[in-house]
Amino acid sequence: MTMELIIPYIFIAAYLLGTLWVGVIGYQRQKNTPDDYFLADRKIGPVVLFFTLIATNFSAFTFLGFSGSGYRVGMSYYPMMGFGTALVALTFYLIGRKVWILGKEKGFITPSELIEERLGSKTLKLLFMAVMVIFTIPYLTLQPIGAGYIIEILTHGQIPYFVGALVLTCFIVLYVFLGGMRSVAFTDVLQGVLMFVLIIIAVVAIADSLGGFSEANRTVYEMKPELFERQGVGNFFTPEKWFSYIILWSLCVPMFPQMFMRFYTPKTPHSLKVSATLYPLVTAIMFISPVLIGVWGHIAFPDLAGKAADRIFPMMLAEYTSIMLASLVMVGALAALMSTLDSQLLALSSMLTRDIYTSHFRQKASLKEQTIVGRVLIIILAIIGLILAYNPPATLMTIATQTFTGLAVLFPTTIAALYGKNIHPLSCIMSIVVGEGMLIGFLLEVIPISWAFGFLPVIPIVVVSTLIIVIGTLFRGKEKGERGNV
Amino acid sequence: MKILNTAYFWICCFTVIFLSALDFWSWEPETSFSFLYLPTWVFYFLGLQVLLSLAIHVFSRTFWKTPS
Repeated sequence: MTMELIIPYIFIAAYLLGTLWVGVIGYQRQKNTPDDYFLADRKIGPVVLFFTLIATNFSAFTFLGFSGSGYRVGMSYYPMMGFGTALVALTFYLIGRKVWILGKEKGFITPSELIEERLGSKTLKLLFMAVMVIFTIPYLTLQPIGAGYIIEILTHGQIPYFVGALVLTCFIVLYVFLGGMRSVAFTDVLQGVLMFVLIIIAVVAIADSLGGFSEANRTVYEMKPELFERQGVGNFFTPEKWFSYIILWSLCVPMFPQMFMRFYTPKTPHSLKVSATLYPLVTAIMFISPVLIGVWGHIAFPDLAGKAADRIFPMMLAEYTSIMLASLVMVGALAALMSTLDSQLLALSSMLTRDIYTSHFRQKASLKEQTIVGRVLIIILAIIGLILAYNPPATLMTIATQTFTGLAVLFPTTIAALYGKNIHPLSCIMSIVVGEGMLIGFLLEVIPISWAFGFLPVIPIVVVSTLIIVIGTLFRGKEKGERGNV
Repeated sequence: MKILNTAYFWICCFTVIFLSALDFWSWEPETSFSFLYLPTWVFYFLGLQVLLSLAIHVFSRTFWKTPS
């Protein structure tokens, strides 16, 4: 075996051992209670919270997907993702602050526990949980798929796709199983730092090989000037589409169960404040790098079409950097993916344990029993993810991209639960059912896309979901007023 | 400053930042370039993100109260 083939194995092994070591530190500090296993005893500090928030939210898509989209759409993809995601920081106040306070007061662990207590409906709680679980599973499945592809590329096909997916997933299950949220949060710090540093190293190294940033951009502009147009290649962005994308991330990111549950974990609100302040800065730096690499891809690979462009990131690394650097940066992509998958597994297992098992089957389950059930569920969820990843259905990607809209439907109900007065739970149930119904309608083309008036479907869907709650509340207020007069 | 403790000020501030991201006035076919041969609007958005971060920093020190 030549040195060139051994290097990726060395990097993968070193990274996995480092992650396991950090995960074991989390395990050693564990107290074996649900609060500790699922929420790290609500004692996360500012640095760990910041890294766990970015590592959880930025997946393999940040490395591979952004470059592919940069290749297809051009530079304008950067502000759409960069600024759109930066706005998510405002929800750390709007949603995170209230969730943290209520979590401390009432001891909530899952998002649906908060919804039930605030709006007084078990049906709504189950519906809210079901939507979160159903729309997170396709996104969870994308992570083993990404792991399989990255390992296959890194080892030049010596480790086949599914073996790579299996090994990585088993590894994640091991440290989540042992240490729960504390291990996940600690490994997120390592993975977040790796992602951030390695993506910058990648863009600088490739720019250097292309004669510098200015020279690389000038070369691409002379080849394909439309890549630098504000609206993107082929006028990809219309004003309506731009507005939709800018608002989309703030509606859906806090509704990811793994993000929502992180709002319960800080020791003090100071951690949330620090994370909110730094979040827009980190998206500014991290998101421009993969998009630039994708745009520069036209220099060496001018004829990629469709999905082939999604492989532009490893192709550019192989073309312009050494095997050592390319392997190292791809480990950064692995870190991005693992930090998302571990959080998803933990969030879903805690919801199924608390909202289904403890609530409906074993109300007197001891704290120890709950953590055991949570651990078993992590294994079951990982197996489900792997089964779906074994032979991913063609529609999986389509389903996964609808995850964002499916979760955004929960946004109006969450705001109503946190800030609303006199909210009828039935109006929230209707809001979610109608919103998800509309999403399916748009997907199956039962509802014509023209009914979205040029916006992405998420906009009319969230508007209708919000109106249902507002109208329901107004009627309830009127009803109460009339009763009062009698 | 007293104004920094009012909700209206912060609603206006963040609304203006959000509306600034809808920069349809600069959607012209002609692209102007600046530092690193990047389009000028790239730096406009980098600036907006720094501004948003600064605004959140001040907001968290003035309006965002820590519960006792």
